[in-house]
Amino acid sequence: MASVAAATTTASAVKKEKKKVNERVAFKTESEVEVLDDGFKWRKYGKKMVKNSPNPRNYYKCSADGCPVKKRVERDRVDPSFVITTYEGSHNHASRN
Amino acid sequence: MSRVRSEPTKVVFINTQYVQTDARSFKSIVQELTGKNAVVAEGPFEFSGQGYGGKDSSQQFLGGRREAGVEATEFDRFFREMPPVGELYNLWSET
Repeated sequence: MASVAAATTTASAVKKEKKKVNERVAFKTESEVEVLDDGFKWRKYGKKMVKNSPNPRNYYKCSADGCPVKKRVERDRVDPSFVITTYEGSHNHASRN
Repeated sequence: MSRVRSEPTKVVFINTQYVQTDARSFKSIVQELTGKNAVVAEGPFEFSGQGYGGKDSSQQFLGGRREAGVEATEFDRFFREMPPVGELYNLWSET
C-alpha cells in the first residue's frame, strides 16, 4: 500500500534537528519532611549539591518494574519550610493506595 | 568552531508545570498528574486554596534557576493573572 511505503521513507530521511520534549511537574509543598507520601515506592539513585543552596537534591526512581517515572526532591533555597518535588513521566501501573 | 556535519543538532525542551499544594492534597494531586492515564494540561494552576499570595514577590520558585526555560519570576505572573481557583477547578474537571 502507498501509505506504508511513505511511512518507511520518512523514517530514514536525514533530519537536521532532533527535538525532544520533557514533561515535568514540579510541586511546592510546605512540609517538615522532605519525602512526601505520594502512594508510590521509590529508590534513591543520586544525590547532588546544588549551586547557591545549602540543601542537597536527592534523585529517586519508581521501584515498580519497568516504570519510567523519576523524581527529584529538594528543599526550597529561599523558603526552607517548603519542599520542591519534581516528577518526570507517568506511571504505567496502579499506585499502592 | 568546526562542527561534525553528520551529527544533527539535538534540542531538548523541558516543560515544567508548576503546582503549589498543601501536604494533605499532595498525594491525590500527584497521582492525578503522574499516575497511570494521567493528563498533564498546559499552563500552571493551583489546587486546594493554598494561597500563593502573601509571599514576597521577590521569592523565586526553584531558587531562581532557569531550570525549565521559564524564569522563576514568570511563576509570580502566572498566579497573578490566572482566574479564581474555583473557576479553574471547574474547568479542570470538565476535561
